[in-house]
Amino acid sequence: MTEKKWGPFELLSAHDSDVPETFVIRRRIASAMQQLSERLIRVDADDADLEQWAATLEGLVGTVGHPPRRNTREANRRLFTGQASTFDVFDMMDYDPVGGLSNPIAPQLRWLAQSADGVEGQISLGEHYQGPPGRVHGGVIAWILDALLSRAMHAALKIGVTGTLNIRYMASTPIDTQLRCTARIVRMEGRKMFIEGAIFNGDQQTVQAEGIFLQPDFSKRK
Amino acid sequence: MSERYHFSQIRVGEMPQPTEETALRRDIASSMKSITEELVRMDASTDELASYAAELAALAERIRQHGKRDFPAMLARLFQGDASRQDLLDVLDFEILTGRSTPLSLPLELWLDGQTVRGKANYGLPWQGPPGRVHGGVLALTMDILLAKTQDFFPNLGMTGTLNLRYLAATPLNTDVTLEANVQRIEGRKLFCEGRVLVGDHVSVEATGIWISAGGDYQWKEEFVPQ
Repeated sequence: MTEKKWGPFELLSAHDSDVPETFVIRRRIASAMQQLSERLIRVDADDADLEQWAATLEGLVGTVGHPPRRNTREANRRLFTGQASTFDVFDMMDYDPVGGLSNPIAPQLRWLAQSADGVEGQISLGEHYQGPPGRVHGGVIAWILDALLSRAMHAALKIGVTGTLNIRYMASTPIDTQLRCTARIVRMEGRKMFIEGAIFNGDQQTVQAEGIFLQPDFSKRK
Repeated sequence: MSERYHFSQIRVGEMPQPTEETALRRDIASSMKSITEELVRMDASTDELASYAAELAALAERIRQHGKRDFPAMLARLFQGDASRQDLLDVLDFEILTGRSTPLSLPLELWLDGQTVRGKANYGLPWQGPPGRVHGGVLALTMDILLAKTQDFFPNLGMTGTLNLRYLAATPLNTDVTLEANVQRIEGRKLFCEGRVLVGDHVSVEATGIWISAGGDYQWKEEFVPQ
């Protein structure tokens, strides 16, 4: 049986296909790391407990060691020639620093809808993403918005990089609450794509973002 | 112990001596960061991965049995000038994404140099966007944290009002980059600031921001009043 191969415009659908076993486990690791990151913040514990936890983690650092990494550039090249394996696709998407289920640092944004008309996602952020007590850190919001706006670009099957990103904080965004995130391309002007995004707590909009993303300048390439 | 601390005594990069407890918490955080760094795209068998998953889940379960210290109470003591050294360490060391005991922390360091906030960073694979480059959102996060530190020149504490970012060039992964930020001006409860990421001599990202004070107009701390 030949393994299914994927191209650049199949990235999202490929990532929705069956999760390879190794990624089922990698996601469990990332989820445990997320829980640890949240629970360890100002945890009430005596020195004996802390010592034990420190020893467990130090032991694990030793066991994990410095394993070889898989090459992203190679996987990227395979993707653009339509030759990416499902494994390659998960390697790219699952470690995304926003929403990547196998990345222990990634805010866990889940996508509910993605089309050329725009994207919608949902996220709840724990104490490890807290700024002022009870509120999401402003920088974490900026982090998510960049990803949100670029996802609107990808969902419209366009590629490009962030040119400018302007963020307006309108109200506080609470932690441990399901937030709704939306973004869409509002207009195009040559290489420039104007994209807007927002975060909502219930009906209240807490943040507004406007970005200009730039498509690659193909005229400069030979 | 009789030493008591007030919020206004906090300086970026100047921490009180860590207690034994805080030293342990820093060890824990540092191990967490090492593991995170290795996990991304690591080549490992499913058996190895399953044993890491089991060990981490068991540890998370043990830690879940413990409560947390009261953060708002700690902050209240700090604002009243009645915080203990451990309170101060628990606040600063667990600062979101930068504190030395924070398990999920950006790979960066910040300090004050005269009227400028300076820093350095070196991002590994967990922070990657396009191949070989730092994720744009991670850079936005970095700029927010960097610009927020300009508040160290004031006794006030505020929140981000607006943050405007310009991406001028790619910021490479696994490369030392430098950070700097300055206050442009203050206007009542508004603090206008700007900053940048430098790769060698060229700027890869620049940002301007307005922070809004949560209590009263921004006033320079005596030692930082511009000449």
